[in-house]
Amino acid sequence: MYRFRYLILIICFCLFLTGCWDSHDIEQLNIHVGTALDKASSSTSNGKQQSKNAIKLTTQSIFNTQPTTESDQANQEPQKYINISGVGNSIIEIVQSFSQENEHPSYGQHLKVIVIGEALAKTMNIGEILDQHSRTYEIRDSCILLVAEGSAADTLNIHTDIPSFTLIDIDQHQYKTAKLLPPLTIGKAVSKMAAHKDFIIQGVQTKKGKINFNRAALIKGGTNRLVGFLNEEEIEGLNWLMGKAKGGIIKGRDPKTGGLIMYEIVSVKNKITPYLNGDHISFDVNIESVGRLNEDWVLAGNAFSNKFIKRAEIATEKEVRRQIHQTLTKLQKYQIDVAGFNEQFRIHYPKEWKRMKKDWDKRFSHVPITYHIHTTIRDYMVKGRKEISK
Amino acid sequence: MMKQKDRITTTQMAIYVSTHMTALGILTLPRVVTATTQTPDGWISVLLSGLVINLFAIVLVKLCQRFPQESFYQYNPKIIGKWFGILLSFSLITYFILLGSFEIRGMAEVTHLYLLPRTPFMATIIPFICLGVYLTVGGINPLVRLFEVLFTPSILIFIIVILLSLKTFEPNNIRPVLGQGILPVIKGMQPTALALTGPETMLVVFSFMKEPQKGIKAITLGIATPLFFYIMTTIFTLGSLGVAGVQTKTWPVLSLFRQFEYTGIIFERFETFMLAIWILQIFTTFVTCLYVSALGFSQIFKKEIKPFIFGLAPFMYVISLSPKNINDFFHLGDFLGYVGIAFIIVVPSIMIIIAMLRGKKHVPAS
Repeated sequence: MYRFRYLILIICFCLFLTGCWDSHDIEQLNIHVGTALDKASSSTSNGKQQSKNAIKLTTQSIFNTQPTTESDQANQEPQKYINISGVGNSIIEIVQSFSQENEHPSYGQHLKVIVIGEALAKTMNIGEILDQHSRTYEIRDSCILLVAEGSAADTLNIHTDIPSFTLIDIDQHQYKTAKLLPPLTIGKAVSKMAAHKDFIIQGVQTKKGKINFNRAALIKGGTNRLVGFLNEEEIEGLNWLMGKAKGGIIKGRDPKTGGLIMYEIVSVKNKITPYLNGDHISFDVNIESVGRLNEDWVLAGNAFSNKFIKRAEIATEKEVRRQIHQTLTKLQKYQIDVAGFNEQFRIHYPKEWKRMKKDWDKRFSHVPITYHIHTTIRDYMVKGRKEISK
Repeated sequence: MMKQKDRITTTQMAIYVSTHMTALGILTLPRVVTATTQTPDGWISVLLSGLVINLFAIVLVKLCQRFPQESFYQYNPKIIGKWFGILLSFSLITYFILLGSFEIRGMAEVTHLYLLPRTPFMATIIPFICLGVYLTVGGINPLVRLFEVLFTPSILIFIIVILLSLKTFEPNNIRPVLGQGILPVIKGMQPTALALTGPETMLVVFSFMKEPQKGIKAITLGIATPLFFYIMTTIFTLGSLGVAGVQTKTWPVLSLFRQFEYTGIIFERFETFMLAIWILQIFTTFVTCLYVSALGFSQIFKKEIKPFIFGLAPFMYVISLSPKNINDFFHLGDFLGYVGIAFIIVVPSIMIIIAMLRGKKHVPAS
């Protein structure tokens, strides 16, 4: 009897321990790490019939680098990635076509970044473009979204080890500069599009194999199309406005001597207060920042004295004020509210918001916004002055 | 008569109720609630319906306390007559069979989607059922002991993983509180039904309690634990995905754990942990459903429980495969939610009134 039981047990083991239906050897996988989406140019009709809304998808996969035995390749460092592109009307049909061209199947679980080309973002709904990526179980919502000025495929061709990783690494540098937006994940973007909200995506520019994160793409909610770009200064202004700046430098001018004063941001806090008077909306923004004096070009500047510190603070506030003004002017011109004014209005006036959300962008474009900036220079590091007065 | 060793303590009872409650409902709860409220107040709806359910669960316990040695199947003929009683028993059994099948189908759906995309349903469901049968044959004691073992790690992992999601949490998403007034919150209570089913199992297993007088304490603790999970989950999911985003996701809670990655520590992705404890919670619910329905048959026909357990297992397998697509499956869930709520709210309240009017009570033999 017992022997019979053991036999059943062994058979069960054989059944359940033999392995997994879904196992794939890691060497056999084509691991996608980055994807670039572009508008297909009409000339790239490689025999196939393409309708006018065709997309060109370029994916970057990393693979297991094997030491090559061929002598001419020995002194050359092997490339660690490979870019494949395809053209089609839907994302999945392009990705599937890769399985017909490559020996290794596509594997999207480690996709880290999606770059959308400017031309594509201007003409097509980003919500539709990203539908496959946000629906499939393979791709995580933590994947980062970027917009490329010009061609998106070029961003995956820059001269670095693995371009996709360079892209996401640069995108994490907010603690060093205020000229970068916080990374936007595909999950957050999809949530914003579901709510018909305007949003902003970090832009990248490629020139001669080098990359620069110096723009930000404004996306209009509802249509989800790119309508314009912010430049570096405007991104900085936006970061101040949203209280999202975590580091970086403000370049002020000393009101007395005109010398440069460099203020290093340690923290920024903001408070947006909406006011509603009848149908008249107005906003009041209070920004408080703590930082330190990092560099000054004022020879007689004495940071041991509070007088000079005060001057430096005024210089900084003036510069921040200028940047914020520039940003707000542009946002109101484009009728795009990405600084969170709509959120604050929704929170403070939920009933009125229900009525006003439909034409919010229009209202926002002529809403008066006042802002108060207060900076505190907490310290000046290890040196307070350059010379002692005679 | 029941054997003396088939007795469980008050803590075990609380754990039993709470593990039975936490199952499939939690994964879709933020979506179904927010789809009705359209405001970030879903968590208040969950809290309120939890309190209401707890109130009626106390009535349920009061009913059970009139017959401390007997299960629902045994005492309901005494209250409403033999034929109505048997009818009611069979509807409760059917409900538990459907609920158990629904849970395994849900487990298979989610595993198929997130973990094993090419593995057929059969390969995940059959071992699941086999293990469930193996556990159930041992009776109530192995069941609750397993639940005890699983309880603490489940809570710990859940709390750690949900706190990690703070990385994507935006406080503005759950503000303002009660911005559109209380009405959306009241409306939002209705779809919480599926998540809050579970206390009705007390109708049957109450008879196993060592100290029946502590039944109210057990059920209150048993409901409070999952309720705390539900509220946390709803707040964090809404905070991360937003009112609009949460309504677009099939399994919003699992989407929440795919919103973030932590690089630099041993693990980058945490939805696997969540899925692991969640599958265990599904298992516990399935096992209790199987046990309680088999117990029903055995008590109605006054036969051994084992053949019913073995007989029900293939039956549940077939039912679990019957919903044609995921929408049918969700509809089945909605339906079961309402039936479950009926067994918590309507049935015990009516029964206790009839029992009081007819003066039916368990009379100690001695």
